[in-house]
Amino acid sequence: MTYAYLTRLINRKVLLVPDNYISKELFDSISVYIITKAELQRSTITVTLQHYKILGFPVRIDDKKYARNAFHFNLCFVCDSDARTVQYESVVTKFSDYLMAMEMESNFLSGGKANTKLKPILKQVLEELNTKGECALTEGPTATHLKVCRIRCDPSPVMDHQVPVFIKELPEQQWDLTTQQVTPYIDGFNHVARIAALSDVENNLVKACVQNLVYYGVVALVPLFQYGNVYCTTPKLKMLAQDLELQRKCLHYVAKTQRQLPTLRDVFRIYSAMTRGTTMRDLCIRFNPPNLRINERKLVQFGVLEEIIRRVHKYPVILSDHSDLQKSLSGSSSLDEICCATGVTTQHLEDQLERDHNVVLLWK
Amino acid sequence: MEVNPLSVILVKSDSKGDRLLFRYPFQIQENSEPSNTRRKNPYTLPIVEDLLQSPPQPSSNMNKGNLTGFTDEVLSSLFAVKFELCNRKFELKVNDVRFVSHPTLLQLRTKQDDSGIMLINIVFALQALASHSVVKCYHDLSKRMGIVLKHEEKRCGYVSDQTQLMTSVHDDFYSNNPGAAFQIILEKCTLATNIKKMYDDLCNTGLVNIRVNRWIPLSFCLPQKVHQWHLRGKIVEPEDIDRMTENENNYRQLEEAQLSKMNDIINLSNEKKEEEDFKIITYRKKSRKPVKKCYGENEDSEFAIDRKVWLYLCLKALRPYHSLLLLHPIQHMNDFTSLDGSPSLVRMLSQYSPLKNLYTLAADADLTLSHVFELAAHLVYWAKATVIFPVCSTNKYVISPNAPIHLTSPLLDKFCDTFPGANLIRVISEFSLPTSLGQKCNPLCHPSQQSQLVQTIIWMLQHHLLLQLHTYVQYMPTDNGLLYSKM
Repeated sequence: MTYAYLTRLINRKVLLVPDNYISKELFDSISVYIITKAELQRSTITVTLQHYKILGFPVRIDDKKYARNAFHFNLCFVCDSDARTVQYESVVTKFSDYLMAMEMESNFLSGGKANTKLKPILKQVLEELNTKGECALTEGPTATHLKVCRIRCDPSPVMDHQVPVFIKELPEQQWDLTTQQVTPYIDGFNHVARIAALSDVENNLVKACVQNLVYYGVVALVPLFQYGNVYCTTPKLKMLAQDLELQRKCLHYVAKTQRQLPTLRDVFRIYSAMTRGTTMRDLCIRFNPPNLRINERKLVQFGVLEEIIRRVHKYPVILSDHSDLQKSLSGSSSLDEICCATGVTTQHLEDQLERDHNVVLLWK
Repeated sequence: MEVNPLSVILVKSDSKGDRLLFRYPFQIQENSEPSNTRRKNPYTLPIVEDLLQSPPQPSSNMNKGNLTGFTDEVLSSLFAVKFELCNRKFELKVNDVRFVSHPTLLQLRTKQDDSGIMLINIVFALQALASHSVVKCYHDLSKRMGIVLKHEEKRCGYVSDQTQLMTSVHDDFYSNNPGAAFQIILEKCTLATNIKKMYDDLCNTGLVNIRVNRWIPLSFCLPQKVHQWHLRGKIVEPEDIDRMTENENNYRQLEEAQLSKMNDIINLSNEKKEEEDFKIITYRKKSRKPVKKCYGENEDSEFAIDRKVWLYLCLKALRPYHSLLLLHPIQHMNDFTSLDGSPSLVRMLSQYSPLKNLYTLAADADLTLSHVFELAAHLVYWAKATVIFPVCSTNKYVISPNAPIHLTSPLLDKFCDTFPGANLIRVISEFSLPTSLGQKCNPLCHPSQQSQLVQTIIWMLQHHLLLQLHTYVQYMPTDNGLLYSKM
């Protein structure tokens, strides 16, 4: 819920949309946060009261033409006190800048027509932001577009050995050139370094592109699939036995062909056999998934995406005083990372490490 | 680290006006490198149209974890709130800094009329990113501090003494060097020393333990910091809190979610016998130590925890067959069990052993089981203990997925100090595959070795390096799962 209101601070006139939404007493008690000191000009200020949250952006325009050589105004949005208002901050700033431009061009605010001209605009912004989340203002010579964007957390950096998987359709829009070139190679099995090689795009650009897609929730990152990998189950496995929707989704996802779906019991049995110490290779020999109409790579992918299973990574640690090896085998980087960085196959590296008694493998 | 405070500010407002009395930290290191390293090209022409349309840089009031950009006068005018906003939560966000406090009105001891009403406001400046629950905790701390000060003023005029002292120091030093005034105040005023200690405690451990006016102890726990939730990088949405605190019904929903997770912990193998005719699939499932579950910080749900809700959940999650594991040596607990603390806590701790379950502990300490549960929940909240299954020879342990073990980890040295000659990495590597105590003991080994083994496992459990695996039984009578799925 947003309410817009504007204060003109020269004669402490307050314009409210809707009318009289905030009582005068309340306004007086918080006026110090709306009519601010000079140091706080052009900062977004949010004050949380018992029932309301008021988000404002005080602005001052210095000009000789005004009575006290300056014109102050502050456009505020009023929300419920428990609402998140971070996403409105940029909107308030932009809207204030728009009003400032209008004021400088045509004395829009100070001209005394505020009630007749400004009120419809505030009303429009309030209604359209609440219903559509965006608003286009075309009043006067300049136009501006306001849009409320959800603020999400920054995605963590993308590593060479991670595999991007589409978790929803790529939205139909004009993507940038890198994304257009990279997306055909995102098939759920190629890792980032490989995608870079296949698409002939520089590695860091691919990472930036994938990170961007992760931010928009189009792509998720899963660990690289290899038959030597070890997975273990998480407490969420129980959901697979209970949740019918999840079962349906799972069976369609892991099926070898869509004509004949595998049975839930087989799928569940393979998942529950994933324990530390059992590689995918062992499981394939034990269960022979193609016979059960299961695609084992899809099975693992679904499990990781739904967090039914989790990859058990191996972290080699060197215990002797090899200063050159201590950096790479310190226990903070997994075998995958080391393989990807050095270009050695996992099998080869594991054999090498096994022969060295000073190296300890931690599985976690 | 978004849970640490940027600054603690003390503001007063009375009939003589408002004033910022003290803030800590007050020494702001000067920025050594020039802030704007990119020099502007002197030949560029300013584009007039762009001035209004291009978004200006968002301004920041943080610099290396310190609060900057506000003068003391601005801060004091912001925090000397009007009477309408007193005695309730005050929250103000300016750019990327969030201020939270509980402005408290108190009656000065010397003046028993309207002119003797003073507003005292202890404000915490936090990063705006700090989650809703962190803000709530800081508000609680400010409120407690306000209550203590109100009481001390009533008892012996402590606040009027301290504020007078601070004001006079400010007046003396105002002309030459305002920064030096804070240093003098810190040396002279016990209230300032308390604020400094509070800030340091919050930044270091998250456990505040101060004694105001050498009389009233104030202890406070910032759970997010103590339990290091912030390291997991999750932000709690305010809706989660609403969902939890709204009414009892929602408690129940939450409880169901928790209990379903608690079922993960309960070993269901005894059901096996009754259902032997059917096909039974057993699987091993990873489960964290139960107490972590009742934090609600498990993978699939992230709840903001307010203390009341938290204790409620913890009590619901505890079972008589769990056992308590203190995170510190029992000798260190004397500080925690203060003189006026509950005697039953002392009684319970005297019988404490990580090998006993709570039921046995209750019997040995001669307390009711529910009271032992309450004491355990209390200890867990204050990060003095965690809850595990009693260490026994059949428990299977593996390395916890987020165990911070690498060559530069400080835990390595800590382990070495406790167990001389042993190497943490060697010891823990034996838990790469699920390993039980029974597997590691053999009849030939010396009893002392065996007790050392138990000690190392307990040490690793205390540091959350191991987690226990449990076997679960899932009943799946048909190819398509449970029978009701057909209906």
